[in-house]
Amino acid sequence: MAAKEPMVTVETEELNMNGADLFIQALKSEGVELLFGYPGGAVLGIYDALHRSPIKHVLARHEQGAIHAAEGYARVSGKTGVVIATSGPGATNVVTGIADAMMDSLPLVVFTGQVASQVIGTDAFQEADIVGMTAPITKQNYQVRRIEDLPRIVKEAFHLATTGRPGPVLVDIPKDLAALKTSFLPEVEVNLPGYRPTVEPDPLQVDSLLEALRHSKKPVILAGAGVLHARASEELLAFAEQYQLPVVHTLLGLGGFPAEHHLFLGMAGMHGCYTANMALYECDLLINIGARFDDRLTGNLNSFAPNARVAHADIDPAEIGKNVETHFPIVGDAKAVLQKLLSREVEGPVSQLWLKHLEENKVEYPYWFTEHEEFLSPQHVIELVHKHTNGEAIVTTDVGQHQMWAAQFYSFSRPDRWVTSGGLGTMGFGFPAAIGAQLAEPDATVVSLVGDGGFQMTLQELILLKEWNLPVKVLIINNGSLGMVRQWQETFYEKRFSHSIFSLQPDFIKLAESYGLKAYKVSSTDEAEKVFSKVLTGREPVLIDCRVNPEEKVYPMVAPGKGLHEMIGVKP
Amino acid sequence: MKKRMVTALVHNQNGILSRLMGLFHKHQYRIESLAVAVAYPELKDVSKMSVILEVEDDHKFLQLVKQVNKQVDVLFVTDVTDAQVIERELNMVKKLLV
Repeated sequence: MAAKEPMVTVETEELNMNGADLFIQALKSEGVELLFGYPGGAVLGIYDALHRSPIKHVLARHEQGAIHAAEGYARVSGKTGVVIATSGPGATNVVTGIADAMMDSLPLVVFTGQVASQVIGTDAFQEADIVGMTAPITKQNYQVRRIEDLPRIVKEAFHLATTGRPGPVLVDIPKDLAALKTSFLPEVEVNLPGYRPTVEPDPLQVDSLLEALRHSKKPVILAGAGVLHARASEELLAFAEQYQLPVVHTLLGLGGFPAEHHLFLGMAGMHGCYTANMALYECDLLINIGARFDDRLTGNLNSFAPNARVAHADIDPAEIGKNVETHFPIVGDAKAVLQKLLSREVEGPVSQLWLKHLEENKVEYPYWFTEHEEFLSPQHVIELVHKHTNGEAIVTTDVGQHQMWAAQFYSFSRPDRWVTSGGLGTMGFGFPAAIGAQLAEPDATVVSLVGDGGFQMTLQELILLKEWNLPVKVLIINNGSLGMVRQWQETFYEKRFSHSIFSLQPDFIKLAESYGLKAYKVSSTDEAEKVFSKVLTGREPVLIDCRVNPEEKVYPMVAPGKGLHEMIGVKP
Repeated sequence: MKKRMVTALVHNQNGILSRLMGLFHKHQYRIESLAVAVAYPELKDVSKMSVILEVEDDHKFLQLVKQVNKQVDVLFVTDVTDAQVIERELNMVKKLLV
């Protein structure tokens, strides 16, 4: 974020600014350099002021594209993603992205236009009660009623989005406010007596965990996205190494701990690896740092970590004890908690037997897939992407099979490389998120792994690659179907493939070419190897249609209702 | 089923009531009684909210209380079921003069 400008510069022309100029000024004072949005009637005034400002604006082709791009930008840069949409349909089009950001704790500030104050509540043209609609999926939301409240509300919105547990904040601005003449530029301070996130953990809580750790024979760390949000990877590594604690990641936490490290067990959960899931099942002390015990992670709660005492460190006290009974609650920011844990050395628990057992599991039960002669294996595609990007690409995905294969086979070694829709599981997320990620890190290699289903939900944003000169690599893991739906129908609905297989597909190559992009189709390992080595790390955007085995399934798997120890498909 | 009563001091922002009721609704609680009013004449922007509802699972309910407490405009929330509180009821009688 740029250096923040002071709010008070009541000099020349600003005395005669209008509400929209005041709004832009407020954004600048928050250090906003980039907006994602789409204009419309209710935000014309704001767009007029934007025209006069140096703030860059990315014109998505659909508001959903704008907000997912903002999420990708926020996830990679650590800055706030800022979105503008107009009233009514513009506002409702960002609802999915808001819910997605809420579930995955991403800092977003979303500005929506609203119909003019006098007609609010009359079902006016393009009116929607967006504040009412988004109340359950925002950390906080506002409707600006008086122009003099605008600077305060904008400041509060950014403060709320980024502090404590990050999340989306919506600000609804009636159209007429943008035109009001104002010279009101108060120095605003955030004063929210009901909002005081606990960052520093209680030392007594930390001590009780360390005391439990001292007596533990089978400890394991479960690290979630909270570690990434708090930028606490180094502390996590130091803590794990200090006591030789094995580490399991959630889907969203991947990259928080280096995948190649000997203490790393892998991802846990429905499609996690055997070693990680069994570690959670067998452990006697489970130290959860920044994960929220999502049902996709825990499986059947009745058999989740049955022998473990559970410690849970989270910045959000409402998460502690929500799903899993917690013996050692610690409220605090992951970084602060880990620093506190590191500052108090106790006799370590290093249990060689336990580590040896886990190591044996790792060797015995790795992720696996079978190569077919006639087909390209999707898992192999991911492995090849890893190889040709040295494991350093930013990888974005939608939800589904390709997402799970990416999580399993792209070994993430550093934080901020993995952008995926975890909590809400949003199709159409991965591609626009890649655009935001590339804007956040122009020099990085950004690979957008998408399914042929999800890609068709937001592919209109392809034009942005050309328009903004973004070298995103779009890889469609194309199995001609909604792969995960198909897999569930095959496994749990006796192969009744109800509407999960596409009878017709667009020609993705021609489609990409019509957007001015280079495109390739690969349907064998050789072709993939050849094309990837040529274009994956280049500085040009490219689309690769990877025709993979349509019957391939994601294994291992914990069936719904089963415990983590009841995984199927652990071995070929 | 056990009755529980919680009180919350809330910042009297527009929409806070529907925000909180949305939380109760999401957790499938039926509200038996709800009273909201400005509680302190000197603090016009603070309201006191008292809610009575029937609760099956105390643990789940306490999680909901935490969710309520998490709201930015909630200053604090207390489960007063087992505390000593003064309960008042208002009986309105309409008298017809014939």
